Parts: sequence; structure tokens; C-alpha cells
Amino acid sequence: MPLTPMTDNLLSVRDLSVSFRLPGGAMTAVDRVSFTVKPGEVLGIVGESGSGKSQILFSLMGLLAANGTVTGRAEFQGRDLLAMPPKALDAVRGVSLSMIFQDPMTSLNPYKRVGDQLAEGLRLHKGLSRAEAWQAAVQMLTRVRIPDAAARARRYPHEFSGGMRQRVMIAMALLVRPALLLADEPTTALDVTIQAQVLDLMADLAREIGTAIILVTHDLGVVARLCDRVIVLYGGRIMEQGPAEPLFATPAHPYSRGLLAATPRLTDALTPRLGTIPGAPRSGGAMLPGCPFAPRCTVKLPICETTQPPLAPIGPDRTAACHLTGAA
Amino acid sequence: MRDMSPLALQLRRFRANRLAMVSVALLALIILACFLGPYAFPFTGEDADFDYISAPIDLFSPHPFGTDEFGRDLLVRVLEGGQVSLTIGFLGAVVAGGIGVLYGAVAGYAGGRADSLMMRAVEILYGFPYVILVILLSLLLGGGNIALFAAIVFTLWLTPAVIVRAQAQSLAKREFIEAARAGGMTGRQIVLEHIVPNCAGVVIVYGSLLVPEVILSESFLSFLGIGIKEPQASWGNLIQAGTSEMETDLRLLLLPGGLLGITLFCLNFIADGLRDAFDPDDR
Amino acid sequence: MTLLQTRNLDVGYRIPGPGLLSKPRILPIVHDVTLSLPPGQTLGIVGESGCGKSTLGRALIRLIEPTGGQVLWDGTDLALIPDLRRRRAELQIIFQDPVAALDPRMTLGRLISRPLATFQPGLSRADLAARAADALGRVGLSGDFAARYPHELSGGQAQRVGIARALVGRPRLIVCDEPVSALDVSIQAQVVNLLMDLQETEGLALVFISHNLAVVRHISHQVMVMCLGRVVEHAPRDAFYAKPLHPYSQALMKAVPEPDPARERSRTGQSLPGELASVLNPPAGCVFARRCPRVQPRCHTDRPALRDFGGRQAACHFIEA
Repeated sequence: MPLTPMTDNLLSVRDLSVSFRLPGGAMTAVDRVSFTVKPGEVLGIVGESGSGKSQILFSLMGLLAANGTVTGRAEFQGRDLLAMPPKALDAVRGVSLSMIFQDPMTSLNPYKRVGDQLAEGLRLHKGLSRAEAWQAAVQMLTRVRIPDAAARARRYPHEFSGGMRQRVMIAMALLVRPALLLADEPTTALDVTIQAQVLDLMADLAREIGTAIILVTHDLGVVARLCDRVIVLYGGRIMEQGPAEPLFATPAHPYSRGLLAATPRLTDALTPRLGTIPGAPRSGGAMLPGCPFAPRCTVKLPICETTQPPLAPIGPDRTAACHLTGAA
Repeated sequence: MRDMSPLALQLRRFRANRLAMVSVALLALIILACFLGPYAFPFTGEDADFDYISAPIDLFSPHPFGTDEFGRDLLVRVLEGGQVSLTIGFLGAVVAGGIGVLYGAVAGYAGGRADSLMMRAVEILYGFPYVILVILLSLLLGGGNIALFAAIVFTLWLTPAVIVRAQAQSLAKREFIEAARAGGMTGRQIVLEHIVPNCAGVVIVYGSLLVPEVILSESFLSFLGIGIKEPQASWGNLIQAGTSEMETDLRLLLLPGGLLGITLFCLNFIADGLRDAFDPDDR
Repeated sequence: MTLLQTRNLDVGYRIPGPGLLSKPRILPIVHDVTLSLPPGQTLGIVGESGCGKSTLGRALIRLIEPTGGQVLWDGTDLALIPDLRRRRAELQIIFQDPVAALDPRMTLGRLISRPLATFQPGLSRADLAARAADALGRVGLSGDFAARYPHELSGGQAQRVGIARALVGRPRLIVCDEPVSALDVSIQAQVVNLLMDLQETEGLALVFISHNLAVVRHISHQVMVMCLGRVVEHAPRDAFYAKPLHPYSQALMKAVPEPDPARERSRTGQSLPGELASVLNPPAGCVFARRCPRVQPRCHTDRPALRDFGGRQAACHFIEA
């Protein structure tokens, strides 16, 4: 596979780090993460709690908490998102960069009609008139399969079910036809059959509009369904990166292998017990000198605890940060 | 954070609050002064000293802060009055709070019809004009200080009951209460062992606000003439006496009034500090 | 020899009547459930939100009173057992939110041993502490956890403490209400394995309630699928996963995303449309009629009963066995 030139990238993140000032000291949530997203691509960032995956999205959107600091570069459409002042960021957010969240109630104003909230973005950023924006909103609601869209647009968020609210949020995010959509665990709170609907919808719409997606989730199945490329995150650092199929078929990093072994399947042979990863995901504190996964790794070497493994190529378009993959 | 109970953690947060700790120190000083101060003097607040009628402030005289028109030492009277007011305040808050907590916890946990009936009773009592209720109860219980105390407590337990009932209701839905039922505990055991301790935060914060409320209540009633009666001093009746002499002799008003004011400020800062410590999201 | 059995079990919630003195009404949640669980085995109950599985789980140990039908424990009607409080030692439960299931103001040792004080009142303080330490050991936590408080625990540790508390009275059945849904994948696996180990060593029967079909497959011997308060399919584990009969079961299987990109990409675009009716307004006919891809007019009016298909059951008019 030929290497893609850097200029092809929609988003290019370099050495993104996020840390928080806490009463007990500083805590590094994300440590020098670098990745790229091509136009129209779906990138999955998978990790457990404490991996820092959501913080990556929040920093890109400028939504980091007050006690958080971010360093690094995030080049998007020729500008560095991380260095932009809030006003400049407003011109990008909701226009070419959108985000959807796990709990749709937090991004829907309970006091405004759904149609109004959808239309708001269009009127603000694209200068459409009230009538035009409302029309577009209703059309989008129909597109996301909300039955009886014209009437429903006049309702309030609490009158919608969880799955429908999530679809409204997708409608809101994609109505402005953004170049990049950030999705933070968008289906985690939904029932299985509704989750499938929502994932299909995201895939369809994104393909239709040409939106790239960064999807943050803990669910490997969701990643497998939607994502072209995958980043496996642990303790704020990238453990492994690469196209979805080869990564799932032959995971290189012990953590990726552990996660896949721990995920129960519907098909395939049953093992007497599920594969496990001993210990628990890290929770706060300073970064360890060596590999963040070392405390839980069953195949670690002495060097793993003292020296950070660099992210090194291990195959076509794949990288992994592990002393054992022998690529360093 | 190792092995510290939630209560210990909350108290630690409270101790970090400078304003609250200063208020605690000041309040402690006032309490000490009121209960121990009078022993520094050879006379009580009721002894009339005919050599010094209405004496002005003279720090070198036997009556440093002067006397009233009966020759009673002002400072000692104010300190003794403080004993009464503070005792009624703290004791009243504890008793009213205690009754309210139990009532609210039972109503909130029981839910259903029992809860409805209990809260309707509270609402009916709320409807009575406060002063009239106190007077009625005071008379019913035979007048006197104990009756007054009971009457004040009877009117003030209502609000803690309502607050704790809301807390108990939300607790009753939590899984650890279901777990307690799955563990075979009776309703009574659950209320006493799980509900009441978990209302501690709410109780402590509200209770600390009750103390100034009771003191003010007593002061108000004494001011109206239906509280603590002469010759016994309380801040309330001292202020009442001071108000009638306001135009001629400001001291009679300023000393008890000032001390009451400082005490109330301290109690309110302490209550603020407790609220911040026990409910950190509520800044 | 059945440990737990139900016959036509109905469960509902009592809602207070509109006025102060009017009678409470009943909101039905679970309808007509008949099941049977032998000792030492696991019954997996799956369904999406609103299907009534959690309510059913609580009714099985009489944490909620059934409104119709019977629950039989060791052959005796659970409603008629005289000293239920003590007997609760045998029928325990663990919850979905592990930290919320622990009283924040109690030490773990006290939390775990408290039920034992009810089940066996004669025990001394030292006995209780010893039993608590023993229970902690059986769930893989060291003895010094007894002095800790719930706020110091991670989700996985808190769930282990919940299991320890359930174990302390030597139960024969534990109802597990979505016990791993709130946990990270790697911790989920640890807890599931722990439950399976305990089933082997202590002969525990489990009722494992979950919306996660894959986890249920791993731990269950028999599977029951619920929809809007009714059982739509009930089968032995292997038969169920090899070939689910009911359209809803099939839809659930198809909807679960598997960590296999090649398979998943080919499945995209086949999701089930629509949403289920609300529990407050249940449909007259089949509970799944509104969304079923094979729906016929008859399904809206004529509720299918659970029919036998050789050792398994399903409630659908159009099943080819």
C-alpha cells in the first residue's frame, strides 16, 4: 500500500497531550498522541475508562474543562485547532467540525423545540432565512427516519425516546454538512436494536455527505462495524494503530489481543472462561516511566517498565508501541 | 484518602475553610465567655448594686461596662443572658432536628399512604401562625421556660422533617437500600442504619442553620414579652429592655445586640462552611 | 429436582390512586412467565429496556411482590415461607451499579457481614468479621479491604464486594441484574469468570439478566428472551444461539456488533426499523408486531402463545422449526 502524502489529510494531530490540575497534583490524561484523518474516512479510537479517548475529542472541539491544559498541534483545514482563540474556533465549530455525545439530552436544549434547535445552526452559520432553515430541518429529520417529521419538529426533546433523540442529534450535527464529525460514545446508552439503526444511519449519511468521522467507543463490535482505521488507546497513549481488518485479524499489541480475547462472541467456539487482562485500567496519577500497560501485561519484559516503547511500524500502514513487536 | 470515612473526608474539607474555622474559634470564645465569664465577678446579673445605678462604661470600676437602672452589672447580665440563649439555641436545634430527622426519614422511606398522611400533618401545622402557636403551647404546657422551649421546638421541627423526607425518598430508591431488603432487614432497621446516617450531610447543614433560627426565635419572643421573663436575662429580653432605653442609653441595646449579631454571623459562616464541605458540587 | 420455578407469574407496580383515599392501581410489567431452574445452573434473561427483565429478577426473590401466579422455591410457594427474612440467605442479588449498591458510609467489612447478622443472629463480632474476610477472599480481594470504604473502590472491585455480600450467607441462587453492563470490557471478563468459578465451586444457581447477548451466551445454560413483559423465546443455550426461532431473537442477534470487521461490513444496512411500544400502552396482539419483518394482519390481534418445538419454546404464529 503506497504511503499517503501528508497534504491529503483532513485532520493532522501531532503530539497532542492533555493534563489536568487536580488538588492532589497534575494528572496526564493524554500523552503525545499523533494521528491523521483523511476526508471521508471513519477513524475509531477504542479504549477503556481512563484511556483519555474522550479528552482527545474535547480538546479538538475546545471543550476541555477549565483545569485542563492541552499541548500539541491539530491541523484542520490549514489551521491549528489547538492554537485558535475561542472566537476563531466558533467559526469552525458547528460549521465544518461537529460533535455528538453519549447523552443526547446534554446537547439538546430542553426548553426549545427540536426544529428550532436544528434550524439555529443553519441560520447562524449559513445565513438561511427562518423558513428556509425550518424546511431544511424537517427534511433532515425525515432523512434520519423520524416518523412524521413536520409535526415532530414542533415538539420538545423530552417527548422523544432515547434512540430518536440520538438521531436528532445526528441530524443537528450533519445538517451543516461538516467535513469532520466527532462522535463520543454515541450509541453506548442505546438498546442493541436501536444502536444498530443509529450506526447504520451514521454510516449512510456520512458517506452521502462525505463527512469524516472520529468515533470514540469502548465497544470493539461498534468499531468493527463502522471504522476504516482503528487506534487502540491505553493510559493516554496509543498502543496500536492501523486499518480495521488486519488489526482485528492479527492484533500486534498485547493489550489489543487481551481486549479481543476478553470480548465475548455470539459465534465462534466457546472457551470455558473468557480471556482476561489482569488488574484494572489506570485511574489518574502521573505517567509511568515505561509502557503504561506494563502493570497489566502478561508478557512484559524488564525493559517495558523502564523505557517507553516508541510507536513503530509493524506492517503496511500499521504501527504499535511495544518492545515485543521487535520493530524498534 | 486511605480508609477515611465519608464523614471524616467532609470534616477535613470543612477544616480547610478559613472563614468557617475562624467563626468556630470566635463562637467558642463567646461560649466560654458566657459560661465562665460571670465567675470572674463577685456578683451575679441579678444583684443590685445601689452604689452604681445606671453607671456608665468605666473600665476601672467594679462594673467595667456599667450598670442598668437597677444597678445590675451589664456585662454579667449579657453573659448570663448568653448562657440562656445559647443553651436554648443548641439544645433546641438538636431536639427539633432530631425529631424532624426521624419523622422525615420514616415518611420518606415508607412512602405511599403513610407518607401522605405524615406530610399532610406537617402542612397543617405549617399553616398555624407561628407566634400564636407558641403562645398556645406555652400556656397549655403551663408557662415557664420548659414550656417555652417545648413550644419553640414544636414549631421548628417541621422544616428539617420536610428536608430529610426528600432526602430519604431519593435514598429509598438507591440500590443499597434494595440490597438491605435483600439482606432481610426490617423497615425500622433500614431507616435507623441506612437512611438516617446517609441524611447526616443534609441534617448537619440544616441543623447548623437551625441554631441561629432558635436563638432568634427566642429573642423575638422575649422581645415581645412572651419569652424568658425578668429577672432572668436572655439576649432577647435584654434587647427589648435596651430598645425602650434606646434614646437615653445606647449601651443597654448595643452590648446584647452586638453579641447576638456576632454570634449569628459566626453560626451562618459555619453553616456555609458545612454546606460547602458536605456538598462540594454545590459551590 | 428444580430449585426455582415460576408458574404464570405476573408482576406489576402499585401506583397510588389519584385521590388521597382511593385504591392503588396496578401497572403490569411482567406477564405470564413460567420457568424452571435446576440447582447449579444459569438462566440467562435477555431483552432490551422496558422488557421487564429486572422486575422479573426481583420478583423471583420476592424483593417485589408478584401480582399473579406463583414462585416456588425448593417446591414451596415463596409467598408462604414463614421466616423469609432468614431464608433470604439462600436467595441473593447483585446489582447493575456496583458502587450505588454499597452504603457509602459503611466500611466494606461491615457491609458484607451485616446481612449475616440477620441470617444468623447468634454470631459474635469476631465471627462476623471472619466470615466477611472469608467472603472477600472468595471473590479475590485481600483481607485489608474490610477496612475500606466504597468511595475508594473501582467499579470492578465494588462489584466483587457486592458478590461477597451475596455470598456471605451461603446462597443457593444469585440473581444478577446486569452485573457487568457498567464495567470496562477487561473487568467484565474478570467478573463473568468469577461468577462461573463460584458456580462451580459453590454449586450456585444464577439468574443472569443482561441486554448483552454475547455475555449471556458465555455464562448461561438456558436462555429466555423477553419483550414488553412477555417471554417470546425460551431454549437451551446451544440450541438458541445455533438457531434462534423467534423473529425478535433473530433481530437481536443480527443487531449485536461483533469484533469482526469483514462480517460487520456485510451486515450493515439490515437494522430493524421502528421502536417498541411503551410498557404503559401494550399492544393487543403480538408484542413484536410493530417491528416484525414477517408481520401479518393476524399478529396485531391474535397474541401467539408459547409453543413447544422439541425441548424449546417460542411465541410466534409463523415459526418453521
